[in-house]
Amino acid sequence: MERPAAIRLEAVEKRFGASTAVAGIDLTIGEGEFFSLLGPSGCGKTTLLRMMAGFENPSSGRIAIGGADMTGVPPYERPVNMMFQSYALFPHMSVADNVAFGLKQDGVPRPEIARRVAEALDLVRMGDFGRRRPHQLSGGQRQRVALARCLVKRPKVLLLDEPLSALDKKLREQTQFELVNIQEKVGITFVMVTHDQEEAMTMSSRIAVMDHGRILQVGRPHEVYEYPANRFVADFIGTANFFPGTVLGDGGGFAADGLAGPLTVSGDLPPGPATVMVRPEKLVMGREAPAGAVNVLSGTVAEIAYLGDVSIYHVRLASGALVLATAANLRHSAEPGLTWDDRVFLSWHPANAVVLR
Amino acid sequence: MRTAGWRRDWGRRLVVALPFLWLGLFFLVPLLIVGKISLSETRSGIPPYEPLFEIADGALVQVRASLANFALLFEDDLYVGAYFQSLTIAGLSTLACLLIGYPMALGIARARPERRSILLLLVILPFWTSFLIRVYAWMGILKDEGLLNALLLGLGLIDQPLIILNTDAAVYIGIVYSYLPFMVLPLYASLEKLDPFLLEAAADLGAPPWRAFLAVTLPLSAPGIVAGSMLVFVPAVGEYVIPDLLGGGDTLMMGKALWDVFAQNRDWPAASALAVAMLAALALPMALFHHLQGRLEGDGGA
Repeated sequence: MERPAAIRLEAVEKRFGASTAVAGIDLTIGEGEFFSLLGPSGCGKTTLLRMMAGFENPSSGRIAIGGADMTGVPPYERPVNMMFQSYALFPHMSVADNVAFGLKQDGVPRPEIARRVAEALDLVRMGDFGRRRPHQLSGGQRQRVALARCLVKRPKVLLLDEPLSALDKKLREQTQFELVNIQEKVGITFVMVTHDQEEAMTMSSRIAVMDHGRILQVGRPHEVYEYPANRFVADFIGTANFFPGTVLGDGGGFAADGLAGPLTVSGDLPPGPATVMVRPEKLVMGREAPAGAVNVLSGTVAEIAYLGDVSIYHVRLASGALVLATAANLRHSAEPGLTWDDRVFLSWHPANAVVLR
Repeated sequence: MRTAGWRRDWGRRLVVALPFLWLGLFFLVPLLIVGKISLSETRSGIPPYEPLFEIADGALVQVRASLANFALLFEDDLYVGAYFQSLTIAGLSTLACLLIGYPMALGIARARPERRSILLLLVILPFWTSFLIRVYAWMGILKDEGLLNALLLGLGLIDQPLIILNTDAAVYIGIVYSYLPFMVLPLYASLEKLDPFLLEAAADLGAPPWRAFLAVTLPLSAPGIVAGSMLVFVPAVGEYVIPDLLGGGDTLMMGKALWDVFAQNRDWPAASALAVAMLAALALPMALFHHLQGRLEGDGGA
C-alpha cells in the first residue's frame, strides 16, 4: 500500500446474539481509493459499512479512520458520511436544505453554506432543483441529491450502501460512470457496498469479496476475476467451469474426475486434490478438433442462450458434465453456425485456467 | 355493461349515503332543534319555551325569533368567564398531555415490535372500565384522607393532608388522566411511521441525538401532535363530569355552566344558546386544525 490508509480495520468482529455477522476482518483501504465490498446478501458487508459509519459497534477489534481510533466515537463525530440505500432524504426539507443540513450542524457560516450547497448541487447536475421537495424528484434525482448531501461535508471517507440498487438498468449504467467521475474529481475515498459484481467490477479500484462474515479475497477487479482465490470467488464473480480432480505432480498434469485424459496445467504444482477453473470466454469452440492443442474436450451442444452480443453454449460432455462456452456473435448472419446436438470440440490454453485448492 | 356500471354507481352512492343519512337524522336534526330553541323565549310550562312559529288555521301567523339569549351570554360575566376558564383548562391540559404523551409515544414507537402491542394495550386498558367509575376512583385518591395523602403522610413528606380534591388542580389531574390516550395514540401513529434511516442520516451528517430530534423527529410528527392536541382539547373544553366531580365551587367550565342553566334554572333557550355558542367557539380551532393538517400532509407526502 503506497498510499496512506483512509480506513484501517483490525480483527473487527460483530456478533448479534449467537450469530456472527462479521468474523474477524483485517483490511486497509488507501486514501483516494474506490473500494467495493462485494458479496451475497447476509454476508456481513452492510454490517461492516455500518460499523465504519458508527451505527454499529464492533464486538471486538478496532476501526481507525484517517489514523484516528474510532472506538466509542458516535456517528455524528466521525469524519465519514454515508449515502443510504433508500437515500434517507428529509421529506420535510427542500433539496437545498437537505444538502445544507450537515453544514449547519458544523456551524459553517451562512454565506459559505449557500456557496458550498450550490457547488455540491452543480457537481451532481441538480443546480436548478434546490427549491424542490424530495417527493417531487425522480429516483435518479434523489440519488444525486443524497450524493451531494454527503459530498458537501467533504468527508475523509464516503460510504455508499448499494447506491444504485433503486435505479433502473439503463440509468444505473450511466450513473456508474458518473459516480466514478465525481469520485476522481473530488478525490474522496469511496467505500461501496454492493451485491452486483458487474457494478463492483466497473467502478472499483479494488474489491473485497465477502461471504459469511469473512473477506475471501481482496484485489483489483481483473485480479479477482482472472485469478480468484477460491471456488466461491470464482463462482460469485462471473461464470466459471469447474473440473474437480487431482494434481498428479512431477509435471503429470491434472486428472479431472470423469474425464479421460489428464489436463495440462501451467506452473509447478504440489500434488493433491484441487479444482481447475476455466471461464467460458476462454474456451475455444469448433466442429473440428484443434490440431496441436492441449486440454481438448468434446461434447454436444445442449442449449444455446442468445444474448445479442454473445451467445452462451451449454455443451454436454461424455461424462455428463455441462461446460459453458461463450462465443461472440461477430457477424450479422442469422445462422449461428452451430446448433443443438452438434458435436463440438472445446479447448483452452493452460495459462487461461486457474487451479483452485 | 351500462346497467352494471349504473348499478355499481348506485351501490356506491348508497354506501356513502347511509352514514350521511344517519348523521343527518341523529346529529343534524337534534342540532337544528337546539338551534331553534336557542332563538325562542323562555316560559314556564312543558316544553319550557315559547314556540318559534305561531300557526293558526293552517297558516303561518308569526315568527318569533330573538337573539336575546345570545345577548345574555355576553352580558353575564359568568358565561364569558366560563368560556375563558374552559379554554384555559383545556389548553393547559392539552399541553400537559403533550408533554407526558410524547415521550410515551416515542418510547412505544421505539420499543421492540413484539413489545409494542402490549404497551399500546396498556395505554387503552383504562377504557375497559367506565369513565365515571375511574373519575370516582380519583376522588378516592385525591380526597383529604385519600390514598395520595395517606401515602405522602406515611412517607413523612408532608405533615398535613394536601387539599387537592375540589380544586382546579384536581380538574387538571382528571382531564390529563382521562384524555392522555387520545394524545398518545395519534402521536404513536405518526412516530411509528418515521423512517429510522432519517435519524441515522441526521446523525451521520453531524447532528447529535437532541438536534436530530428537533430537526427530524419533531417536525415529522407534527401531524400527530396536531391531531392528538385536537382530540384532547375539543372534548376537554366541553367536559362536564370531571369539573363537576373533582372541581370546586369556583371551577366553572362551559359544560358545567350549561348543565346548571339547563337543569337547575330550567332555562332551555339560554342553555341552547350557550350550546350553540360553544359549538361556534370550537368550530374555529377545528377549522384551523383541518387547515394545518391539510398543509402538513401536503408537505410530508411522498
